[in-house]
Amino acid sequence: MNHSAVQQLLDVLNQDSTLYQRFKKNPVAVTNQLNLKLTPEEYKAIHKIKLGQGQKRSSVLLGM
Amino acid sequence: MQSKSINFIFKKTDRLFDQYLPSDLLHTILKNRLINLKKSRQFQKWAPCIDIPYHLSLGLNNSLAQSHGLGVLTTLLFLGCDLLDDLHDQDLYKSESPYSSAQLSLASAVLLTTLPNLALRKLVNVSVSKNFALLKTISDSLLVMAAGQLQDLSSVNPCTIQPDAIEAMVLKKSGEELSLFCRLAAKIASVSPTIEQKCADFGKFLGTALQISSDVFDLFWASQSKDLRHGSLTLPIALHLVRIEKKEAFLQLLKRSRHVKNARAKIKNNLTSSGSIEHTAVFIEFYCEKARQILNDLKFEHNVHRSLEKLINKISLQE
Repeated sequence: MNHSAVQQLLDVLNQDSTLYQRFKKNPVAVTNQLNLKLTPEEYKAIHKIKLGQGQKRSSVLLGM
Repeated sequence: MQSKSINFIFKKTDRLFDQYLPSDLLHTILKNRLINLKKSRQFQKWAPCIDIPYHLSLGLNNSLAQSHGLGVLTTLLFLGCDLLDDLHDQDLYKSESPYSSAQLSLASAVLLTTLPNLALRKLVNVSVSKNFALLKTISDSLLVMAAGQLQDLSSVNPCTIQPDAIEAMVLKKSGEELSLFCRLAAKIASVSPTIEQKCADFGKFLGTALQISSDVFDLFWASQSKDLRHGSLTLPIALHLVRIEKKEAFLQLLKRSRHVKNARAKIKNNLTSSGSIEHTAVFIEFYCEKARQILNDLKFEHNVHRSLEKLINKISLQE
């Protein structure tokens, strides 16, 4: 897994709410725009963690 | 609750011990291990290292009897690896305190060598040549796992450890273990080398995701964190270390957590606020996603597909 690219994308999404909204709709476009070399599985995983099922996972992991 | 098939597999394993273990002491040690496994938190809900290869085996059209036999085989191998791991970490059950390390090492050797051979011959019902091929598969994987175990990350400088190194070690240990179990299911079914590799990868990805999930559970939810007590560098910790400037201060906090209770709460807060836990969740999801893709490629019959999909979701969502 490309940990460095995943970390960069997570950090950007946590800091930039506009980009986060765009990522929710089109994760591939945002990943390309940031020029991050992520595999489809990597951005799919980030997408899931940031949305939908991910909310459940995050809340479980973070105990919220 | 454990499923009927898992209970049946445990009973068959128990019967194998009764039939073939000549020494009372060995019999007691191994029975005790099996009982503790059945009682363990995770196995009360489900038994991934047995459930996943068992359902995969049914999907590959192995008979029910062969799939149960495979279940016994994977239970023995899991118990053997688990005992070795606990010996290495000095993390044995209280009921094992009367036994010496030498006695327990012997018990793990029996679980990893003699008993799988017997289980294969008595329960899986394959030809002599396939029996030999299955034993070779077990040996090959045990060598990979031994290399992973010997890759002692505790001797690595924690300030320079990279998440990639932890990922590689998890792939070699937990990933390889479930990969072996799934490859055995494929070999019993005599599938093509391509399908066999897909099955092995399916297990490797899920085994890796499971281990990292378990590391998060240990840090956040277990009544006592074994990893903090042993000073183990797990993925959430490594991801945190690469994100922060003041590494020394965090390493001191890790050291204190071995003895001071509230240090653990501070570690949890640090990991959450730095984003390392979120990153760890992505890691787990990434490997679950890879497993889902293989499951789609394997094109199993609907019920088998659903059962395996449910098992992936259990890891993915920690239900």
